[in-house]
Amino acid sequence: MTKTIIAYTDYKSPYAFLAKNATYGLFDDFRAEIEWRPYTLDIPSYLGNAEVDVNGNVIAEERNAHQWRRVKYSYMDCRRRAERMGLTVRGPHHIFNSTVAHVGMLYAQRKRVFMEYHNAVFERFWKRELDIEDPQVIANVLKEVGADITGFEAFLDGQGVAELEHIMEDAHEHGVFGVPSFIVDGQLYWGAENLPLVREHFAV
Amino acid sequence: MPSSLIVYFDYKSPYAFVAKMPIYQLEKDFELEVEWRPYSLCIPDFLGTVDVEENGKIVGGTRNEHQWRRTRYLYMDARRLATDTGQDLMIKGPARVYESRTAHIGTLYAQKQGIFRVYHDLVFDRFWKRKLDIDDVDAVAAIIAEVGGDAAAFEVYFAGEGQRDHDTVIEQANEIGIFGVPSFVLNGELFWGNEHLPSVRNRLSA
Repeated sequence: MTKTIIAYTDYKSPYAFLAKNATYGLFDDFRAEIEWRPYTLDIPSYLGNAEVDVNGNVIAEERNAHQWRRVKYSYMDCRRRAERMGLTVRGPHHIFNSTVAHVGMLYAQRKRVFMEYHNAVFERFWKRELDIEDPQVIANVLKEVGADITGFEAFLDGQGVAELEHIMEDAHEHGVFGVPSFIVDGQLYWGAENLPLVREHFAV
Repeated sequence: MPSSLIVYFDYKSPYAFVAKMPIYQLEKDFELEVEWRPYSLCIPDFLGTVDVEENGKIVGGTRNEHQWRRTRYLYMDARRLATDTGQDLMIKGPARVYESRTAHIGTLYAQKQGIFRVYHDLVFDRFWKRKLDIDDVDAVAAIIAEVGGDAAAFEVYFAGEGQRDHDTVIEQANEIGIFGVPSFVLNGELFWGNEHLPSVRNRLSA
């Protein structure tokens, strides 16, 4: 019997980006049905807020010393992991709001172009070649990957955002707080490092 | 040149507790002498505060919804990790937010006295069974005595030099970029989290 796994992701998380291909591997190796769901991280609620200029100088901050060390480590750790995978991870200048890109994901799922959209958004965003906050930019990606975008604007203004909120509420009921997170057989796993344990659910 | 491995831990971290045995195994497998350093996590900095009455009832604090979900997850996950690594550990939920500074000064004292390992094992084990208050100087002194140290001498150390030694260790850690435990510094490279133990092991094997 095909087993389903729910995979929560957020385009603005480098860890979610680096976990993408390994998550696809669950389908390749076990024919697992992966239900991708967007989870819009509220970064200031756990890492504070900060903005840096193009030279990397901090120009605004509400972040304690602990949160700064954590953020610096996370980017170093992601770059270390990305290097091994041959991927590019560039540090952001401010905390992005990924809501628009996440509504774009829901739209892409309806139009059956999810994987193409998912790959394009993640890869370009982490090269800093894509503004995930700009509805027109997201619409262009959808179009490029083959979706009919006539309904996207209306979806973004109404049903899409409502659906995203519903997904977030459901995620919170499951205890999700970070990405990537996986739910399989009712068990929650946070972090790509848990993928070996996740795989055990399929291997048995 | 032999590898140098520094391990930062905190008695109040369930992940640090679960990592202890695998680190002992690394020491054994690679004939390493791990340098154990305490790192007193400031929980309110990242998981907010929780005000608890004597009967355990939560009456306030700054912990937000995100931080509550994170906290619940980490206890569940640490227990799962203990099971998955074949360790029969008792990890009880916390009665309040601990500081652990006192027990960490106990670590520094135990290291000076050559009784680190027995102290370390006992403190971790009793704390997670909720049989030891790691913030109570008398309770920590009693452990020092139980493992063969001098409780009175510890209390003198605790009142003076121990405080300074502790702060120096924390300042050094912060300079390295430590923010959580367990953290590993292997030949100068920093790793945070139990999931990096395989990476540490791989590098030691190389």
